[in-house]
Amino acid sequence: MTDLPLFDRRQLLRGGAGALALGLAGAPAPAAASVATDARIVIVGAGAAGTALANRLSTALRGARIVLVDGRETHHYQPGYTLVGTGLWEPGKVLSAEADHLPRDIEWVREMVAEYDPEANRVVTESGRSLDYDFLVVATGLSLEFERIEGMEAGLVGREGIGCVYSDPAGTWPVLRGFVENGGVGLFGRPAGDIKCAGAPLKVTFLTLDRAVRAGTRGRAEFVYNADSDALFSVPVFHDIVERRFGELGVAINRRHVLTAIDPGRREATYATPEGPVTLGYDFLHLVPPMAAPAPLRDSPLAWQEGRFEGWLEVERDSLRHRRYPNVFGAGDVLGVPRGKTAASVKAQVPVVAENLVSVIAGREPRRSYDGYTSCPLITRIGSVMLVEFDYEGRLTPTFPFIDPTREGWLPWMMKDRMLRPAYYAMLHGRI
Amino acid sequence: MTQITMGFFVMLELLRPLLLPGLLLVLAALAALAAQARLRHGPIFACRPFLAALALGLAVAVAAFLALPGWTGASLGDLRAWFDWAAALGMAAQIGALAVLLAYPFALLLLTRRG
Repeated sequence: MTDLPLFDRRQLLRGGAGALALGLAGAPAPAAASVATDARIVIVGAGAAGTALANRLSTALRGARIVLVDGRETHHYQPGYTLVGTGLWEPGKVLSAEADHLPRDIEWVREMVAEYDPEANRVVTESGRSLDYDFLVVATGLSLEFERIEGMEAGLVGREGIGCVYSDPAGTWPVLRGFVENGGVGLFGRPAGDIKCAGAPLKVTFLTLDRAVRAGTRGRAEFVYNADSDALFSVPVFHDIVERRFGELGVAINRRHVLTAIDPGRREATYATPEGPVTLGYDFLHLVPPMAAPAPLRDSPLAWQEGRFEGWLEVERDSLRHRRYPNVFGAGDVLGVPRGKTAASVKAQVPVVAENLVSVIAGREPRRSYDGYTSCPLITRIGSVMLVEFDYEGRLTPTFPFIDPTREGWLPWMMKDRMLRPAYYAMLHGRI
Repeated sequence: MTQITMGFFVMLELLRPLLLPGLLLVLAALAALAAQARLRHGPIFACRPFLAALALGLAVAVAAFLALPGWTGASLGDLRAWFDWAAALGMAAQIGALAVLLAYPFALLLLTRRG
């Protein structure tokens, strides 16, 4: 038998088999030594942040009683919504069973929270069930407030030329495709206030336009982008790039246009502007509704009671610990912080929240800090993306120094199309 | 967590559907190597099989390079920045190298005589 040089054959085989078994079984990454505790931790919300935290805390805390509260059985990979809504991905690619992502040693309460009572350290579900906690993590995500636009309701998405990748990406694609095939006036834009994935309205505009170019119908389609302010993007360098690209592509820009009402039958959209209301006709309207924290949170003592972030979860922007209730933490879109309503932000927030919560349980002060990391792979056409990453201060924070974030490229597109979903699931399972 | 560790877990998720067939392929290649060594008492290192495996690997790498953009719904024309080309060439090279490693044991069986 010829010996393999440099390796002990048995060790190599054992190590390889172990790594493969780990991969096939989907086991989480080995954790540092866990903390022993009998603390009862309630996590509200089983989206990206809640599920990732459930996995991390399950590993990091030995003996803790972790309760996850969320009535939804299906897990949505929301970063894929733009690709589904523009016909690049099949709808099923963004859906999975929530149960497949949860650790076995937690309790999953399949209901929604109706009331927060932080003075009594409890939450109450819709059925009236009271869940006491020693520590609370709020990761509810946010609510799409269609009713704040007169004449609009969620059920209109996919009808009367109305699309919305945030609420119904699968229903959006047929109406978007109809616009691409038939032409007409396409209205795009974003609402005032904080929204999740603030780049998505731009991505949908770019992708729809690219679809029209590829279909040979660009000459029959008029593209209008209605920005809620003077800025197309919160980071100036990317605002300049988008503005220039819109100009090159013939996208008309209306600034300080905030959608206030629609008439689906007449296909008219009314915007509030400094000069007074303006009504525009459309054949296709990509409608992005105003967004807010879910009502139970918004109406609770846990929310900012006033100021810039009124209604969102009141946390310290670095530790993500509640400013008035020290046994409460938050993660994800529900946070009242200057930036961070993206899945990439969740990936940066979750380790901070997990470690800080474990520190507090162990009797120490939180030490980890979230810097506001936000990432928006800004799709400018099929096959081309700018990998936009920045922090609270708007400073560019590229993960890959060799990728120029101001330059469109195929590599970031490949990441968006192929790598970010696996990365998301690795994050969900607490491995990264 | 280092970027390498992160990259490992991301690749693990990406390649999860291919892990089992990949394992079977590796086992088959190892079995071919074992058969060459133990049953046929043939050489483990030989020039002609290596060149054959290399030729196959090169062909696979070229095919991979041409197919990679389409795999993402894009086209070769979308490779514009230098990091696009570097990434596509790098990935194609790795796929080709893997093809060489997997093909070599079989090439040994086919292209050498019993010892």
